Amino acid sequence: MSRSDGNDVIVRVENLKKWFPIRRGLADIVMRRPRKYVKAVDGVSFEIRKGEIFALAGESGCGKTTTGRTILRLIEPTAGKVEFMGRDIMSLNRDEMKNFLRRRAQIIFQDPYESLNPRKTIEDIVGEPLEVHGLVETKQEKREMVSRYLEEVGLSPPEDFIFRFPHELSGGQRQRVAIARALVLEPKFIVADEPVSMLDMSIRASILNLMLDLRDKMGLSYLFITHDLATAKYIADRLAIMYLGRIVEMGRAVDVIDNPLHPYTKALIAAVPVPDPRHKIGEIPIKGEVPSPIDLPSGCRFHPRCLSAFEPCDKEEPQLKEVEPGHFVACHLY
Amino acid sequence: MKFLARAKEFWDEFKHRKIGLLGLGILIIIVAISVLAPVIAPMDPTRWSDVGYWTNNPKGVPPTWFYYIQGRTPIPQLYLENYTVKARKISGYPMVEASLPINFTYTEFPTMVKWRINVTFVGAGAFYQIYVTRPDRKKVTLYSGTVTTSNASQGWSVIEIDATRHPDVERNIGEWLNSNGIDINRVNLGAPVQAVFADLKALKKNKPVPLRGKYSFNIRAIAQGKKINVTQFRLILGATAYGLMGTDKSGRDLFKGLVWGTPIALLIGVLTSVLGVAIGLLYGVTSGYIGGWSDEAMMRVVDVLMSLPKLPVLIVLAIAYRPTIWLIILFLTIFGWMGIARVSRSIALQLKESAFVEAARAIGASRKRIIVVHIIPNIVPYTVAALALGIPDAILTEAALSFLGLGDPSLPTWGAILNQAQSGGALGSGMWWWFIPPGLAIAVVSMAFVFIGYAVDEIVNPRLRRR
Repeated sequence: MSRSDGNDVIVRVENLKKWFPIRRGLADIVMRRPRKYVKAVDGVSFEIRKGEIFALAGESGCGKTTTGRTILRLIEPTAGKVEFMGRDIMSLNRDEMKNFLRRRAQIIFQDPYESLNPRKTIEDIVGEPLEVHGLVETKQEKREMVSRYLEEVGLSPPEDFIFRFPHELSGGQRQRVAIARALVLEPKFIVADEPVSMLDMSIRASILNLMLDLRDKMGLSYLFITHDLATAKYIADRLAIMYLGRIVEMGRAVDVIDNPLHPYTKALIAAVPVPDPRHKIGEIPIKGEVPSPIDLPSGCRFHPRCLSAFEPCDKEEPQLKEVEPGHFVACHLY
Repeated sequence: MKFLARAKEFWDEFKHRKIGLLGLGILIIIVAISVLAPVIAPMDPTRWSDVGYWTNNPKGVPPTWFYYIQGRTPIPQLYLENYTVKARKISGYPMVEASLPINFTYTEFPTMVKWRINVTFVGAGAFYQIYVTRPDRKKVTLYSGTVTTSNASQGWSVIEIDATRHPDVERNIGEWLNSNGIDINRVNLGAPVQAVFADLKALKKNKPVPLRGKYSFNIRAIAQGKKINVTQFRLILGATAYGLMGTDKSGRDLFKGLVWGTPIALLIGVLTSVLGVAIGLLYGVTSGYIGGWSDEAMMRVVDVLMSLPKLPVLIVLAIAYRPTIWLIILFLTIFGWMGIARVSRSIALQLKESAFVEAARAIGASRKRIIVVHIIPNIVPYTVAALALGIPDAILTEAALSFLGLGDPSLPTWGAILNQAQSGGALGSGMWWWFIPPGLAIAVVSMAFVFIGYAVDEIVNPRLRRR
């Protein structure tokens, strides 16, 4: 896998793993049964370039959200390395975490109904990062900053919003508030965890366009987590498809979607509904259900569901290979 | 401004709940009584158990209004102090005779006869006799005695006697009745001294009726010396009914006890509940937010405390420490925070995983800030109901301890009044005014808080709402 030189990379993830231990009962401890793990993320590597929107797509449970959170160290990884702006974030101490990572990397959550404290006003919510980092000294300054960022995310006039509570706003407005909260610290990188999946179709495009505008204005990079390939194609520069904790295909978003290589990617694309009543979703080239992430299949973890599985698939785990320039796939077919 | 808006929102919800309004109404009355206690029942509450403080009150009499609703007129409490003095010499010794007249026109006997006489003299000592002259011209000697002094130039003595059940008085009256052909043991009087005021003909038929007319209480004193004088002569005749709530057997004004019991009950209830909720909230949130082994350990402490039988342990503690009210509040608090701790912990566990807490972590907020700013304010509404419901719990437990005689002995708590009613045999002698009002007070105050608690619970936990 070829690497671009350090300077234009903002996030580099190497062999990241997050295994969640399963709570053992007393009987398991007495019987000395080995501890089992949910292997939510099991060896993921990628890099995000400055100004890039990198999308991570896959079914629910494939580990894409866990990956996003681990990169921000909201979850401690089991193994692997994450470099952010050239620094290994696992080696940061408390002060460095606060003054470096927390100021430069932010997150936007999927559910705008849950991500805002219901007992705080919009001003308090958007102003909190400024307070935590001591960036404003007076209430007046705080209000000015909050107002500026509310306008930035399209909530204007800001005076109409600062005194309101989250429950007084619509879903789209709330998500804009969440974006404003992520922006006030002027971060370089934002993890957007399915930011539009809970929103009405009509609002999605405006939020996505806002995110694109902000990237251009503020030089942001995004890790855009989504299960919706249409959204991914619309917003992302590059796209990685995850399956059971691993990346199975990665490349420019248009390449991956228009010319999918991995059988799983092909199945996902075949399942995307087309808004045309005459169009029938044909046979989706996949069988069975997602296996449990506790007892993973041997070899290629997709092989029990793969229609093209052959000889080595149940024994050897395929590695990512660059099949076309910048287009990687982990499959024995290539 | 935020707070006001939220308070108004809460009130808009609350005012539609009749039961909550009823509770609130009672609470307002209780608070008003507590605040106005020094005005409506002037008393130093710490002297509740001071027997001397109540000594001049009639003992164990019902409330005045109870007489009036029966169409009877009670005797008022009489304090008589206007006496006349006559001095002369008998066989060369100075003698003084003081008399205090009463026009007795009542239809019932006084419940108490008590005098205070100050005799001053010059000499080695004095002999005195206290007697009554009656409208039927009969004379009853009640008491006689001598006073001596070591200081020969000036002596004085205060003769203060409660004659109501005094054995000497009883013997003297017995002799007098006997000389009139009546056996004192066969007459049906509340106290022997009442025979002084009795119509003897009716008493013979064992129908005690007061004899109306002019009485005179007298003291005749002879000094073994040069001079003698009576400088004070006060007679107290006990009322047959007293105040709004009557008195107990020690003469304590039960209305004052009830009124002063209110702020004490509120203090115990509110302080215990607030402390318990505050401790439980902090403990539970800390446990839940930190998680892991410390959570496990902290919750086991809660389990242990919860599984202790509260009342027996409190009884043992109360016996061991003879507590003041503050110590009782401390004990009650120790046993009153675990429920809230459990609830707070489970809400904290839930909030800890919520997206807004994760967002706060992502912006670099400290653990302390997250707990104080994001978690606690979201738990507080749930504890309001528990706060209100914890108050009657504390009041009832304190009443139980006091009823067992293990409360703060110096203060008029309702439980203590009930305890005294129990040991004073109030139930057996039908002194309902001694035990019903404090019992009702405990019930009503507890009920008020329970009503408020339910109404608040319904508002903050919408799932409990009835349609």
